Amino acid sequence: MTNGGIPDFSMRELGDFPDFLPKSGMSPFPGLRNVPISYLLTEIRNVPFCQEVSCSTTSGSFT
Amino acid sequence: MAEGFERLPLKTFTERAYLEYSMYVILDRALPHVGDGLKPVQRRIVYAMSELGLGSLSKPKKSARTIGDVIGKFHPHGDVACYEAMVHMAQDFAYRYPLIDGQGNWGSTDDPKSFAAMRYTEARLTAYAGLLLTELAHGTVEWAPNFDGTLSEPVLLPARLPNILLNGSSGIAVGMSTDIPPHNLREVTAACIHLLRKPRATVAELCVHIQGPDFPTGAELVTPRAEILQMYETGNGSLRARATWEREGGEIVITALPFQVSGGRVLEQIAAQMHAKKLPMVEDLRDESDHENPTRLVITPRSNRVDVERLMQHLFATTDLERPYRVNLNVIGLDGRPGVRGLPELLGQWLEFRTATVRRRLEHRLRKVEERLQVLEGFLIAFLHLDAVIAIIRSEDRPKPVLMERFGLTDIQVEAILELKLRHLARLEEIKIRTEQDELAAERKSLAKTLGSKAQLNRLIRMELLADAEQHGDERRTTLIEREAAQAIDETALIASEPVTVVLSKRGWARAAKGHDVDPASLTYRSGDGLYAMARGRSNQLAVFLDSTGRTYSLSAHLLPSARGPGEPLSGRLNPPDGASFAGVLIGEPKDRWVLATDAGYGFIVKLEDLYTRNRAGKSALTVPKGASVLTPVPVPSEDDALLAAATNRGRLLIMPLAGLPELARGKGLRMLGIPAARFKAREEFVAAFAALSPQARLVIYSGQRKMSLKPSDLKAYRGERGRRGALLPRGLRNVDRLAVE
Repeated sequence: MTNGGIPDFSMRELGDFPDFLPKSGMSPFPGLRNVPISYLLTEIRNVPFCQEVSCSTTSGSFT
Repeated sequence: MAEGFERLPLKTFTERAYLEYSMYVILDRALPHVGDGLKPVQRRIVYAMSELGLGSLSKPKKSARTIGDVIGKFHPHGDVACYEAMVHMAQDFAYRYPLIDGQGNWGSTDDPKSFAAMRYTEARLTAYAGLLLTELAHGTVEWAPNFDGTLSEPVLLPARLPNILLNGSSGIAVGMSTDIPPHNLREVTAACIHLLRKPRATVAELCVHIQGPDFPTGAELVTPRAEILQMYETGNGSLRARATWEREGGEIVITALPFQVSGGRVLEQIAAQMHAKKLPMVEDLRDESDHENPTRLVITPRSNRVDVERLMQHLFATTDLERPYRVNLNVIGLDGRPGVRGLPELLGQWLEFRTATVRRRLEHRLRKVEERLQVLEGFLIAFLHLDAVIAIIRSEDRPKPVLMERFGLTDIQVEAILELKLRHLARLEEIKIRTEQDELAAERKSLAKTLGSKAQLNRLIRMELLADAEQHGDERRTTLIEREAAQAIDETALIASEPVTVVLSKRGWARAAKGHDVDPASLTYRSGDGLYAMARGRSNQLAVFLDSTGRTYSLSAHLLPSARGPGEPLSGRLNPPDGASFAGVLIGEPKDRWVLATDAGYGFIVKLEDLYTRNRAGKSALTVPKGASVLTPVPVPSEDDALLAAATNRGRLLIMPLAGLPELARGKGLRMLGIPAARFKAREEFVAAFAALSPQARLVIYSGQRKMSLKPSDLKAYRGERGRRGALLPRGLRNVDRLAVE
């Protein structure tokens, strides 16, 4: 399970992120690794005032 | 001539330099602006403090920080003068509505300049100062570069109330000055609202609301209402404020002093009068002022018989317990020109300023609302096509033009979308956006309506004025009571009235003996000196001295030296002409009549008050013919049929009705007794003595060792008309020395 806060990125910076957050090395979202960016965006859109995102697996299936 | 030099006549240069300096002082230093009622230094202090975050709810900061910012950023002048301006705005006894809330020693009424140095004191703005600043960020005022062009500062502050009248102002420019008294916030606001409804309102109509100036220190304004109205009409005039007092037991307690009057100074003035023995009815004087009673001066009368009202009238007339104030409503108007303005014009101009400020504020808000509405419209489109928007941003190198084209968005809208924070993606909800859109649309409608209607705009201004008056208004402190002008107690009324005998010696020394039963001849005289003349009067009267040239001089009898000593030479206190000697002394009530005469036989009746003079050099009263001498004056008896007796050195005596002599203020008079001109010229015959007597009195003639007493019936032989030669006295009595009345 990984989780991480969302830094103050703007929509403009969305274009700079990879499709899949890296398993290791630098991730733009501290604490979140090996997660597709689409998941992240869905989470953010669903939760009002979203400050933190979490997911329970690293294999590609998410809850 | 070297390049870059200009040649100018000195006249042109000095004229131009002085004119430029004058204009600078008038427009940019000494006079306040009608809009915010501030001079440039005050405006810069208030603005710099707001920039330092020194609002009314913040923690105060050292004054030195404010002053450093003010002179370093906006006002390149002396730090001391700048700090003094700041202190003034913090003193609750100097400002009716202080702009600065100071901590520490900011001076006292006794000595307003006794404040601590700026490294000790701390300050923040008051809630009232917020009225000048709240709309600053709303596009309400013009901004100008500071002195070095690195910063910008507001040209005026967007005052929500007419601070110009509330706090007043005073300043001296070149060739003009300003003196605006402070006023009450509620009254002035009410007048503004009236003027808003009725722009042609007269002074009388405005003064239904504005009673008059309202000083921070309270006290009473005693100027008649008609004069106050006249002052508001012309913008020019003067006011009088008087201390308030009450009686506590037998003592007088002064509870409020006029504006800008120091209690210490008043005490000094009263003490000086006590020291000079001009206040015998005051026994003691104390300053009991403390934290609870900022003004409490106590005067203890000598006894409970003292007329306290009369005493206070005297103190009002002679000390700073009552003082006048000049009023000159000179301000820089909306046209940028200084001018003295009446109340309607002053308030009218301020309302014009306020209307323009509110209009600018609304226009500014309208612009913001429209921009936001445009952005919201963009957000709504983005929300509806969020996946596509994200895909474009993630796939396109330059997503902006693509978004603009694909969704028909404007530059501002796309910028707002791109700047939207990721964590706020959830906010892109249709309902929320639509709610905000609805709210803003309603606001836009209301703003446009207000801006489009003068009545709506005036209504808004009126509501804001009422709200501010409710929040910041307070009760009037200065009461307005028309009172009659205070009268000082006449100095002579303060002097005890005791009988005195004024004695003049042959050499011109004077003294006053207590009582009327003194024998002046028995007093001690310096060697070679002796009694010359005496007069009996009272100590609160003026003694008049007559000199050999016919000039008179007056001195207060109570100020003459005591008869226990030899007295003082009159020449020490008076300046008679060279060679003159003193020839007589007169004392009595001012309306008493005396006969002045010369030995040439001329004389007249004079009122004593006509001989009074404050001049040390005296004043001319009796014209002395050539070769003649002044005779000792005599008082006129009270009877209408009084007689005048005049005798020559050759024994001619004439008794005539005194009514035959004219009453004059000065002059030679008329001939009393006729002496042939040649005989007088040769000094063979002259008037040796004269006396005024009542018809029942006896006349005593002294001639050497002899004397003769003439009964009223005996006098008939000598009766005659004024100017006659008179009848010869019996042999042996013709060498007349003096006449006496018994």
